[in-house]
Amino acid sequence: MRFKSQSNLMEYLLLIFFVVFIIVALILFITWWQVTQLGMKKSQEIEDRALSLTKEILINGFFVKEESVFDDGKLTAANTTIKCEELKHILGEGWFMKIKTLDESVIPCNEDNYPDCNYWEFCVQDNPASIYAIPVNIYRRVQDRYDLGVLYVGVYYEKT
Amino acid sequence: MKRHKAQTSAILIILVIVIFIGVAVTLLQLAKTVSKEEYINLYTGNLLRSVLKTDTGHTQPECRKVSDLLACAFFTPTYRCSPEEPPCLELANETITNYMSKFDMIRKNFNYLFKVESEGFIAATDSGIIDIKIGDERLDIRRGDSLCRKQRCWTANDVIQRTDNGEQYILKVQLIISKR
Repeated sequence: MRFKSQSNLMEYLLLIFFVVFIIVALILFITWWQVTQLGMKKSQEIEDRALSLTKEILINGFFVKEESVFDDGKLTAANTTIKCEELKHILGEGWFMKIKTLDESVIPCNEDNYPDCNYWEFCVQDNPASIYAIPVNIYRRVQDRYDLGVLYVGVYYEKT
Repeated sequence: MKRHKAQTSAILIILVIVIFIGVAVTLLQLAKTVSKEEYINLYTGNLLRSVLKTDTGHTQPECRKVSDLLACAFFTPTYRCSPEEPPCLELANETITNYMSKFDMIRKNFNYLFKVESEGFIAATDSGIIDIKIGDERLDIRRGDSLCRKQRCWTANDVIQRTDNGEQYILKVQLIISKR
């Protein structure tokens, strides 16, 4: 009889142990889930912002002649006269853009080598970012010619 | 009976843990980031429009832009933009293939089909009806065995208009892309 009651006691102790274990595991799981969800939401917001910025830049009069057609004169002027800090007032913080023709070479544009150049960049920093690449045209004013190019727009993961 | 009762409790607890793990795996599957539908749609549309608008380097009106070259391929397929280059039809194929291959996304991750068809009229040579298809023809939506029936495809459309002797002619251009 004594052994029988001890056996019952052990059973219940084990059962309580497992129940407590499950409750603790549940709490840890829910906490981990919340943290993961927050991280994923932040990533998604950055990607959404990068896409919105891309669509805005494709029609922004500072850079384009018409939708998705960038003007090389405007790009070069923006590169030399309007600095990144001023562009941030218009488009917000923590982003960058690059535009390049499909040539193999990369010749950054400035007022000295225009129009014999093919690359423009704004607010570029060495930080990880979510980046979108979009085919565009670049209108070369001097030659009156439409070249094929790529626009890269990115939003940095950490605010800069 | 007591021994069986303990075993039953142990089995129930293991069952709860297994259900737990199953729920966790299911939730993780559902929590994947939203697919980049909007981006790929934007990419496809811009790729098509940008390629058509690009200057080829030739100065003749028949060949100045890629859209002009495509029209030349349909209306005057044997016309040569310059003596050392192939006729319009062949040159259009080469030009489109060259441009499309320069885009990383297309080169590495996606298949594409660039289609040009006449609407309301038939363009033909001695070899047959002119119909430009550049890329993976399995993506053609009109085919019964089209890959687009089994996997996700993104499509962009545009038109090229030409007037000849007061008559207006339309070419329909379509770009279809799909993940490899």
